[in-house]
Amino acid sequence: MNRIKGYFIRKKSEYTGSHRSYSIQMTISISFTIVSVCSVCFLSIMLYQQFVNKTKDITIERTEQVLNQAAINLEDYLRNMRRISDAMYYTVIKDKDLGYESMGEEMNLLYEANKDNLISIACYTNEGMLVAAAPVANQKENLNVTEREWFQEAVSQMENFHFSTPHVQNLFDDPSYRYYWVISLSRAVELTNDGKSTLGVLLVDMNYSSIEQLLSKANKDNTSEYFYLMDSSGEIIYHPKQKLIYADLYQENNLNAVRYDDGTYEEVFDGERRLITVKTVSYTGWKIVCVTPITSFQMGITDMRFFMVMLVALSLLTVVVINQLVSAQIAKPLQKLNGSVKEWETGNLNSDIYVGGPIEVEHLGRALRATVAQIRQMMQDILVEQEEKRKSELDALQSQINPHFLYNTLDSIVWMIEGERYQDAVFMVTQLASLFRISLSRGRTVISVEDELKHAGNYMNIQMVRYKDVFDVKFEIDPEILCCCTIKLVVQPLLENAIYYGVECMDGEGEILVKGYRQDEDIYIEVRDNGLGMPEEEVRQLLKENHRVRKHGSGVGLINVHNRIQLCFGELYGLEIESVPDEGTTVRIHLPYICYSEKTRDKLEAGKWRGQ
Amino acid sequence: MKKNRIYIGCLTAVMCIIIAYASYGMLNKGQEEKIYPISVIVDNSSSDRWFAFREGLKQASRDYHVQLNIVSTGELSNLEEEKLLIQRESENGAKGIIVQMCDGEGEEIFTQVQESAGAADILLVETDVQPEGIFPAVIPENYEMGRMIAVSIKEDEKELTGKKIGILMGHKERLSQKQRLKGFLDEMEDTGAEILWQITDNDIVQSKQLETAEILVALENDETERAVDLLTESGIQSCSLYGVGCSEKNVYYLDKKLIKVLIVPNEFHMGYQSVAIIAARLQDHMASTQNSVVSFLVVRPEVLYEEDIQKLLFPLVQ
Amino acid sequence: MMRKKKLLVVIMAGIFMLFGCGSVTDQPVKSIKIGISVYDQYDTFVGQMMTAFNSYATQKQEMTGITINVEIYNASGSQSTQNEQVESMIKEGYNVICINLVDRTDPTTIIDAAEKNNVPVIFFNRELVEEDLGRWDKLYYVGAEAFESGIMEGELAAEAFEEREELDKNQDGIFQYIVLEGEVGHQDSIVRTEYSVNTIIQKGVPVEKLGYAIANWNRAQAQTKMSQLLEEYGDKIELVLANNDDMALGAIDALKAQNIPQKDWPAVVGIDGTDVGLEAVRDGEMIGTVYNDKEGQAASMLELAYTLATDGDISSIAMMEGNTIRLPYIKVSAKDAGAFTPPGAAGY
Repeated sequence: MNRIKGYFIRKKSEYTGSHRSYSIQMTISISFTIVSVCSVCFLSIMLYQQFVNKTKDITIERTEQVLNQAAINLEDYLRNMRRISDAMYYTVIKDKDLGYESMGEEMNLLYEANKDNLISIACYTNEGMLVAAAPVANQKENLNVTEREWFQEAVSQMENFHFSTPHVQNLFDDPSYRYYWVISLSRAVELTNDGKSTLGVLLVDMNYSSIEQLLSKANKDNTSEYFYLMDSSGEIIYHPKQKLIYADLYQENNLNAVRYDDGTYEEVFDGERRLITVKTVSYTGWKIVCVTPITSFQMGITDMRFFMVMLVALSLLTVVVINQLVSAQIAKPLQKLNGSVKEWETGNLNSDIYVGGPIEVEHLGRALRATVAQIRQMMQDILVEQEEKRKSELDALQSQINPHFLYNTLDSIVWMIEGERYQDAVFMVTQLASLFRISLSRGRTVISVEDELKHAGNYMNIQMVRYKDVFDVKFEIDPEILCCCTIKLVVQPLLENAIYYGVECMDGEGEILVKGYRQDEDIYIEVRDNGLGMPEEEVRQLLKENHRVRKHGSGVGLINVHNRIQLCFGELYGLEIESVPDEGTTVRIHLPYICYSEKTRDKLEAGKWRGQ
Repeated sequence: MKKNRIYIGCLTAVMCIIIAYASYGMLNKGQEEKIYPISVIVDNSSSDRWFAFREGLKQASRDYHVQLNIVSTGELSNLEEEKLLIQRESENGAKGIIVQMCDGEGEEIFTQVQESAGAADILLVETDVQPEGIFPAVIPENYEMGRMIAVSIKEDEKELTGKKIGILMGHKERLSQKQRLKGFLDEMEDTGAEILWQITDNDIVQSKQLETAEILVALENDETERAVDLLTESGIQSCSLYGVGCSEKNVYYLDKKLIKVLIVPNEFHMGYQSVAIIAARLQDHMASTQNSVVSFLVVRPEVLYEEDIQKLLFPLVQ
Repeated sequence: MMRKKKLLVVIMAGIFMLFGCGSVTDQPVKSIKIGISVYDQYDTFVGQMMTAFNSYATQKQEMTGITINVEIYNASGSQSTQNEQVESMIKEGYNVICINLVDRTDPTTIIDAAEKNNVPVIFFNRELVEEDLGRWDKLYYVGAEAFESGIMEGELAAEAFEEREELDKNQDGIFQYIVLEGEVGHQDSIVRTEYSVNTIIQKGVPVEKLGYAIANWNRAQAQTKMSQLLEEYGDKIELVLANNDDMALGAIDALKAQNIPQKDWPAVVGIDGTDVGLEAVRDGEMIGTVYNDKEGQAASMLELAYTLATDGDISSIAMMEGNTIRLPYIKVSAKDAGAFTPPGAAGY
């Protein structure tokens, strides 16, 4: 019992000593969680990245679309302006001889047809004199248009149209205090004056707000993305924050962007990362630029980011819960098993070992249960054995102090003394003393055969006084066996039995023979009587457990003796009984040949002989 | 086992917090930006002179996401009237009030105005109050503007001794007017020019009176317009006009050379800056309340169409 | 036990989520916002009407204590700009929107947007066709009877012809005239031209049309056109019928620019009675104008807008007929110009 307990304690300390202990459930759920966290995170990062890239692509694509649309609109608008200029030049100016014709009416017509986009149309001579203008023709005083950029450019490069940057028109007097921002489209024209051809300049002033409206439509949505327009030298034509730029409250990276070709670029401006998409407008060399701050389209995917975080968290939550359930499912039987083992450890030997859960665990449980049952059985056996041993010895001892036996003996002694047979009385008392001394033998259970036979002799001597002439006793002992070991009080019960069951009732003819001899490594001590004997049936019953026939005497049954021998020397040894009814019974003690010494005695007493 | 449970519990709690945070973030994304109502109280709000200023206000209200509310006003000539307006706007939920004070001197003005403003932040434009700096302000360099008029006159006139100068002022209690006048007078000292008369916006002016002066100085947009109107109406050609102004009408008169020099404060900047500052203050009350000074241009008809000047002078969108 | 706790947390999170988004703020009740979009802020008549409107609004808010915020947008001659302005006004929560249509034939977008968001719209000065006005019961019009102005202009011209013989320069008993028309296709310019000429004829004055020009209601353009016409017809022109005062003044500018003495000028008649127009009549430069009661219109429009914004009873407004308010024109001739005072401000 203690040994088993010790084993477990040792095992446990081994287990807990080297590393920290985790429950199976913990291990399973932690590893599951780690794996799923990693995969969910990985997946969502991948997804997010994918989404960001997609968004970026879509943004760029959309931007380019809007940009293209704006460019197309702008090109349409500018082409329209060139058409007006063309129409004016080829169908009006070339046709007219200014010497006697005026072009005012046609100019008015053209203006009325396009007045939404136009501020004015004007035609100047090479010297800067106004030929005609619509809709307003009253010039400001002291005007010298030849100094104007649009005029000079038109004259210097005659084959092309020239688009100016936005500026305030400074040609005509408008008494309603009105000023127009215009973009001038100028070209050199050939004027005919009285048949002579001279150079002139045709000016179409486009309404700046038309262009502004055109582009501000693209800037309508509330994102921080915006479009602006600049000419080929980087001068800003339109910008949603134009006024701020003019007032120096805002900066734009236009001078850098003008160097880009068409396409999308990433740049850092004012500490802000942004995407720049450039699209060149045909003919004018103007560039429409779309600026998309990186943060702006990340703003758009903040939603997505939150969504991702939520998704990750939700799936983790689910994973944790499921892990918890699954690992509990796996770990619960093991925990139960462990629990019952623990209970067993604490000493409750009757605890039931759990059997259940998955087959592996169930099998383990079963095996454990069987083992436990076996151990329990063995322990039970040991207990019974010990009990038996003690009990037999006690019984044997008790038989010595059987009051009846003592009373008879003492009575005999008294009777001898009364009959003045002092010699006999002294003999009796001596025999009794010897008997008691040997039976006690200082509490030893193993004694020498010599002592045991002496004890038997003592007993028989005493009985002989009682049963004078009833039977005869003979001892035939091989002196070789005298020095051997035996457990005490084995012969006396046989003699007692022989007397009571064998020879008591045989008047003078009873004979008891005690014979001791050695055969190989065994010794035998026989007690033979020529009494009544018994049937075979009864003989077989004699050595069976729980079959104690106690008629009289100390009642220490043969079984007792038999058990004690077997307990001490092993199953090979014990009693053998032969009996023939009406002829007599022979009870043979079978013992190993072991020389008596203190060492062997102690060994036998400690019960370490068995199995050797 | 117990520890295990605590871990799991913690993990679950953290997850739930993250989920709550994420959903909160998702739902509140649209409402992140709080839109503050801001009221603007200026003298004669529908006047042309505020055109550039309003442009600035509108641009800034788009950039800073504030809700602009330009209070319709007529002549604002006394403090009581103005305080009532401020109080009303504050009661109507304005978080910030941009105000042009018509009058303001003495210590008590701060408490009085602040009282009527209640919880709303006050920002002064165009003119400060005395003592300066009790309210944040976005103001043109008034003193310098006055001084520059004098400097321009000095440039034009070789000999100023004995020249008769007439001055037209706006609201005489307004600090900006006083500062401009002071700047002008300081610079004109020792030149020997004679200040013939000073009239304010409440005085009725006859064209005959104008004629007595050789040089006319108008310190305020409306006064400049009035001077030109009077001059053209009566056909007086003898006096040259120097003025402060920013309305299109004044620019037109400058273009017509009816005005010799026009001092144009950058009112677009003033409008933009005032909203920018008040928005910054509303979003972060610890934001600095430093005064912001707005620059001005000295424009002569010859340079009117120069690129840099026309960009600032003419409204882009009509 | 643990599972229960978990469930609780999840439910809490759910509740939190649900309530995270609900925050509604109340609008201040004591202010109304009126948004105005004008077709062109440089139009003198409209500009002056707006000035009047503003000052009435200021007076009104002093009287009632209710803040009236007026925001004026300039469509600068573009209907699409105006449509966008209306959209942004609706978005910014204006109570009433006043529209001076750029293209009077195309109010569909505005009406649809307003109806969808239930914002009443007051059209003014440029009248839309009846079919459009009848599309929704919260559309209103404030203006004047266009033909009336034409009739009055004709009467003014006819009276002048009869009273001042020197106007018939060639003494042929026929009034030689030119017309300065407003915008192409604009109902006012068509009606005014038509009715003024017809009225002159009805009054028994024989007329002869020399020419006409379109000047888009604009003074500078009118000046240019007048110069061209003067070049063509010179002294023959006896009468200039302008569709509005700005163009009449433009014609005068042209006459002045050609240094023609005032006594040789043709008779110039305008419509609208703008400040400068009235001034010109007083100075005798124009023989007369038809006063279009801008103050009255501004006042009526304000009254209507205010009533609509405060859910008042619109039937109590003076001159309300159905969904329209029309104010009468007033003839102002050179004789009575000095004594003339605009009547509109009666209520204030």
